[in-house]
Amino acid sequence: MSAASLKQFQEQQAILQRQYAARALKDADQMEMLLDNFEQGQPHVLVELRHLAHRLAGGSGVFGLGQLTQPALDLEHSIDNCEEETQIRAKTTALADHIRQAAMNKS
Amino acid sequence: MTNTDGTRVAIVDDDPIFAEHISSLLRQHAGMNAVTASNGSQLFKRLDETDVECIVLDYELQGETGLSLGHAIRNKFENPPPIVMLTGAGSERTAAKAFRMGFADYVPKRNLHAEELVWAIKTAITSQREEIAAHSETERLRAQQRVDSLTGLASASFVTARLHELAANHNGEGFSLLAITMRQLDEYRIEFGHKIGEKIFRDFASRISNANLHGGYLGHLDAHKLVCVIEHVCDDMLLKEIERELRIAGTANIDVNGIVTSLAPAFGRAHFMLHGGTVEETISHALDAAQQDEATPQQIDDMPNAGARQPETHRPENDRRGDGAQDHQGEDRRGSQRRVEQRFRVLKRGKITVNGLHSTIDCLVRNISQSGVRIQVDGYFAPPVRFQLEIVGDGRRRWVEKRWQTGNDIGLQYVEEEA
Repeated sequence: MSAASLKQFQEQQAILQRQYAARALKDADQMEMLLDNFEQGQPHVLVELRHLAHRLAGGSGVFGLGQLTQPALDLEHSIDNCEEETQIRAKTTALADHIRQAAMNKS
Repeated sequence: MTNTDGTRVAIVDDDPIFAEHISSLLRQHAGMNAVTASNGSQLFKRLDETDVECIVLDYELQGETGLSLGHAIRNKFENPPPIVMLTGAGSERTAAKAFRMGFADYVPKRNLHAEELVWAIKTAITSQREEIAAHSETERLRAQQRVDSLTGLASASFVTARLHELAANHNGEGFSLLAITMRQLDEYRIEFGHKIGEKIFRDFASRISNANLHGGYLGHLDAHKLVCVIEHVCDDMLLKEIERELRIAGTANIDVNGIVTSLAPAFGRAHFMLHGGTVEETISHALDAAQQDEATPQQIDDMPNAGARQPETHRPENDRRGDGAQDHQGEDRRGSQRRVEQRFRVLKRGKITVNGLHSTIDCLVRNISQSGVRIQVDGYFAPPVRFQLEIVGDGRRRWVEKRWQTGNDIGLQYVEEEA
C-alpha cells in the first residue's frame, strides 16, 4: 500500500466518519419525533424507529462511535420484544442522549 | 504496494455511508472494484450494467430483507454470483437461514474486519469457480450421453452426431427435420424466473413426446429448441402431419402462478439436400422457418386433418367449475388475452396482519395490480382466507383475500375496505 493511497483512504474514512456522526445527530432528533408520534397512537412509526436503531447498532462501531452500539441494540431489541411504551421511551431517550454526548466529545 | 486485484463486487446496503465505507475498505485492502446499491431494484439495474463476481448483501434492508432479495437474485439468474451476507443482527438463526438459502458466507457488521470480509468474498468466488468447472465437466460427460437430462429426449450431441452420420452416408437416404421452438418461453423466463421457465419447457417436452411421430424421434437441439428427426428424406406431407400432431400435443393453456396463459409452439420444416447441403444449413433452414411460423402462427384448425383432437387445456381451479358452456373459441380468446390487467413487478416490504393487530408477519410484495398483489413469505405460512396487508411505504392497510398459494408465493385479491 503506497503512502499516497493510504493517505487518500484515511481522508476518505475521516469524511465518512464526519458524515455518519452528523447523520446520527439528525437521527437523534428524528427518533424523538417518532417517539412522540408513537405515543400519540401511531404504532406503525415503530418500524422506522427500529430501523434507525438497527442502523446505528450495525454501523456505529466502524465509524468510531462504538459507545452507541449497545444503547442502539437495547432499543432495537426493546421494539422487537414489544416491550412496554415506557421502556421504549426510556431507551429511545437514552440513545438520543448518547448520540448527542458522542457528538459533543467528537467536536 | 498498490493492490490491483480488480475483483468486481456489488454492495447492497440501504445505508449509503456504510456502503461507501465497505466499498472503500475493499478497494484499499484488496484492490476490489465495488458498485453500490441501496435496494433490490437498484441492484438488478447494476447487475444488468456490470458483470459482478460477488454480491455483499445487507441482511436488513428498508422495505425488504436480504434473504428475500437473495432468493430473487437466485430466481432471476441462471448462474448468479455468490452472495456474502452482511448483517448487524448477528444471530446464529440468521446465519443458519443464510446458509440454508445457499448464501456463500456470513459476516457480522459489528467489529467488522476488512480482512474477514475480503477473505469471505475471495473464498466465495473461488468456490463458485470450482463449482462451475465441476459443472462444465459434468456437462461435457453428459454431452457424450444419448439422452438429454432436462427433457428426457435425445441429447443435442446425439442428434447432431447422428445427422452428420446420415449426411456423410452418400448411399443413405438423408434426413428431414422439424424444428420446434416456443415463442413465449423467453418472456416467461423474464417474468417468472429461470426455474419456472425450465419447468414449462420440461412439461412441454413431456407433452409432445406422446405425439405420433410416424417413425421419427425428438431431440433437444439447443437451449429451448427441440427437433423431430426423420432418418430419411420424407414426403413434405408426412412432415406436415407430424407437425399437426405435435402442434396439438404442444398447444395448451397453462397456469403459471395463478395466471392462465397460452403456450403455442412454432415449427419449421427442412429436408436435407433440398434446403441445405450440410447438417448445419438444414438445421438453420428449419429454425428460420420456425421463426417465420412464430411471426405468423397457424391455427390447428388450418392444418390438414384438423378437428379430430383439440389442444390440451390446463385450467386453473376456478375455471374447472365451468358450466360446460365455455367453447373452444372462448378458450382461445382467454388464452390470447393472457392477462386481464397489467401487473407491475415490485420488490416492497409488506406486513400481514391477522387476528386484529395481535399478529404481524413480514412478507415481500413481488407484483401489484389494480385488483391484487402477489406476496412471498420467508418460510411456509398458510394465512387465513381473509386478512389485512400493509405495503410498507404505501401508508395504509387493506383487506385482502387469498386466491392461491404455491409454496411461499401467495396471490391476494383486494376486497372492499372495512370501516
